[in-house]
Amino acid sequence: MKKKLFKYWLLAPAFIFICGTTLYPLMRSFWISLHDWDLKESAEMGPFIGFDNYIRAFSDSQFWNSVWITIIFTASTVILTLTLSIIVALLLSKDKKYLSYLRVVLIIPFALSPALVGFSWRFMLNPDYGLFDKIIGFLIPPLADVVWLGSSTTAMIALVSVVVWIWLPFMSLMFISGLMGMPREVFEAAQMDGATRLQTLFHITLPMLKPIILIASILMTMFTLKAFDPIVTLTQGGPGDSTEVLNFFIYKTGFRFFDMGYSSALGYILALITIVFVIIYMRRLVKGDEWN
Amino acid sequence: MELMSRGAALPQKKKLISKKTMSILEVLCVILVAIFLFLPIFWIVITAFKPESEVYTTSLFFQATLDNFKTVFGSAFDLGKYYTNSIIVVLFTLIITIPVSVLASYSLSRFQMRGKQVFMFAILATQFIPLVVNVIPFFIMFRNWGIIDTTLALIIVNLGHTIPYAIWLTKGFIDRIPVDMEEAATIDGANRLQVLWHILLPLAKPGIITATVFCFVITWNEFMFALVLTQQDAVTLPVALSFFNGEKGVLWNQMAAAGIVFVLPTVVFMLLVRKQFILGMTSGGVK
Repeated sequence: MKKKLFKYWLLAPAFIFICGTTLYPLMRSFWISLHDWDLKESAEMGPFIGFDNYIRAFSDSQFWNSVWITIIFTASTVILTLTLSIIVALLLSKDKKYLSYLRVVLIIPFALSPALVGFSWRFMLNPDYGLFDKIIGFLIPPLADVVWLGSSTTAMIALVSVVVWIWLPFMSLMFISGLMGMPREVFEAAQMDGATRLQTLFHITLPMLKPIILIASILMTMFTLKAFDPIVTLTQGGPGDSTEVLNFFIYKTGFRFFDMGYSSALGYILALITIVFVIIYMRRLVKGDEWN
Repeated sequence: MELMSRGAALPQKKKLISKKTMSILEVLCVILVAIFLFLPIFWIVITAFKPESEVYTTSLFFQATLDNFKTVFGSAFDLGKYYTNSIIVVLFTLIITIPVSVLASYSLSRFQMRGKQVFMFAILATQFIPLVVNVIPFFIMFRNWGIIDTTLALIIVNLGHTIPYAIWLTKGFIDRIPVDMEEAATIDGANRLQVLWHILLPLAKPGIITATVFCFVITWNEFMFALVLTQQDAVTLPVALSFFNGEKGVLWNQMAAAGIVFVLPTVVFMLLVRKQFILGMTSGGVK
């Protein structure tokens, strides 16, 4: 009998901690999302209003604006990061001494705090003395006078570039480990058959990378939807509300306007969006669909 | 035969040239990637050693100084305090997370249990939910308990984030350790806990190290919880960086100095366990 219980004793501490620090708050915030609660007015939860907070979101133009921004931000970040990291991985996965050193230090950008990166970008994009601003102005003179964080489009570009920069090394390392684990014989056989580099890339390398590409897309979509630090440190959602992605919009609703019920409801909507994405990817992963 | 080989030699030469240009092109691309990834870091490092008069220029030639580091650790900014806060939060989070998760993953990996798959999926699913949703009830609870702006509050919230990750990472590792040795030890009369301590732990060490470093990095860099739950006393390093927004504008040289001291531990740890880390992340995911 004691032996039978042993496995549960081992699991119990983790179970208790997860219930206390994750499950309980999640259920609690769902409960809060069904109430009208302005923390500025009262420390007690307001009246029960059912799903009104969720319905309110659908007629809230700020919410839709934020959804739209989230889609643009996520799509461009995920596509850019994945494409670039496959290219970087192809470049760095060769068997050369100097590349192996580069592979070692590649992890460094990933270890940096996203908050610090966000602040640094603001420094380097400064129109008066920023390094990036100067370099871009030197390379592409027509862009010399752009105030990067001053207009909607350029601020979004800046934000995407930060998130791409943060995740590119990690994603590249994932692809590198995939590429270096591939059997050499396949490539040798392809070369013998006279396949060009591009043919090898599209007909052998990429199909073989497919499982990693899918995992990377899931992870990258999740990370991008959850991105928060770079937005706070770089743009604060601005100028106006042009970079106000959902995650930041929820934070603002909750901790600047203290509209707890609405903020929780928005949080659950974002969670739902994330889960839908993950399920779509997962089904592809399980079924092993063609990857285009 | 001879004719054929001579005929083949010509296009081969052409191919060789194009191969050379290709490899030069490749090297150029590699350099471009390296610049893109490391120029910002280089610039932060440079800025940290600049005297104030040089910060607002892009000059590379200046009298390097350690003044910025002295200033940020001085009484006016007191980086030491925030550093201590960060260390306390990370230390206690890890001390709780790692043993708890290792025991749980051992149990999940080695025993049949009803609802095991559901449990594993549930803890993964909680990670899909944006952290803001977690913070709202905690913020209210902690306000009622009067522990807003304490490191205790941050430790509690961080645990909800680190334990699920750590279980996923270590379980993947333990799954791949063959059970034979544990069975042999059990036959020799060792009890379950002895088996766990003397046989499994040494074998699972790479997995445990990976999980520890991963949890270290996410807790050390954690920003949102600290932003919401701290104001002054318990502020950790990532939020402390925003304190350099002074009346005179942002003091970039000091922020860079503080930033370097802040990221140093994560960079060092990451470099030390890089190989195991990538292995753990990818194999855990692909499986």
